Amino acid sequence: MNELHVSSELVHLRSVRRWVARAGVSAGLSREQISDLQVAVGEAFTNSVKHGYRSDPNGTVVVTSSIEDGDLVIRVLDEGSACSVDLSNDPDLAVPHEGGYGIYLMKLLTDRLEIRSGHASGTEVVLRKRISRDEEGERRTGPRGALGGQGPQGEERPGRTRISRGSLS
Amino acid sequence: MQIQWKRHDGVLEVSVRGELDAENVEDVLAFFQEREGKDEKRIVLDLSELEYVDSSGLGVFVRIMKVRRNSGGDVRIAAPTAEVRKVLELTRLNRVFEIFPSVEEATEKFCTTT
Repeated sequence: MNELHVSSELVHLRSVRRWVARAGVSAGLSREQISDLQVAVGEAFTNSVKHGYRSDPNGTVVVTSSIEDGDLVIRVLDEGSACSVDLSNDPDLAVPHEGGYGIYLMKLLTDRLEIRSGHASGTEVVLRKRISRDEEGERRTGPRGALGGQGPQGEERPGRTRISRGSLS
Repeated sequence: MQIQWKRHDGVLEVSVRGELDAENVEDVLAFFQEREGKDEKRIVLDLSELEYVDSSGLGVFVRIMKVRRNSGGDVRIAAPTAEVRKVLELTRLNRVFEIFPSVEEATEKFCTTT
């Protein structure tokens, strides 16, 4: 089992996604499966920081990966405030929302999702993705930029947003 | 994440590039809030180089769309990548935003319909 320990700060989101991509490539997930898992784990990590630790940067979030029964299993664990989550409570998709899609996306982008909370403190989110044995061609590469390839925005650093003004016409 | 913008035929074309998530979403929100009330009600979001978006990013897209529609404008999406299109479809926001294959088509449609 592999583990990643990071402080409860959103600045780590990008490195968590890279770590998930590496776990996905090692497990043989397809490019699309890895991309799905990056979004789902990113949502879990964000929830740990924002809701578990209420944006207090002094906490620790642990992310683990393992292969269990033909699934790549990612666990996101925190020791923040426990919060009860009703997984059957989906957002009303008939109207657009400014929030509330996170757990819904986690459900749709994984093959199985469990959220264990309600202990003295802390939450454990378990995200499973079935390791398929097709899509050979895609499995070799992983998602675009998934492993930290520089690409067109190669010079940027995490946490920095660049705003440039183009021509006015 | 990078934001690049230009004005064309009265339409604000904004390219959001890279990865948009809870860590940098406030930058996008601030960019659009600064432009509220500046007669920039018609916006085309060029997502052709946006490789990743999470629920926070979707929430900001919805927010800026609501603000513009309330003032008689709109936000349209151009050329989303496969990754972004997937989350738009899963959340059915593809039915809320008009989505065009290119920035040119989105801008042109604005100019002929509004």
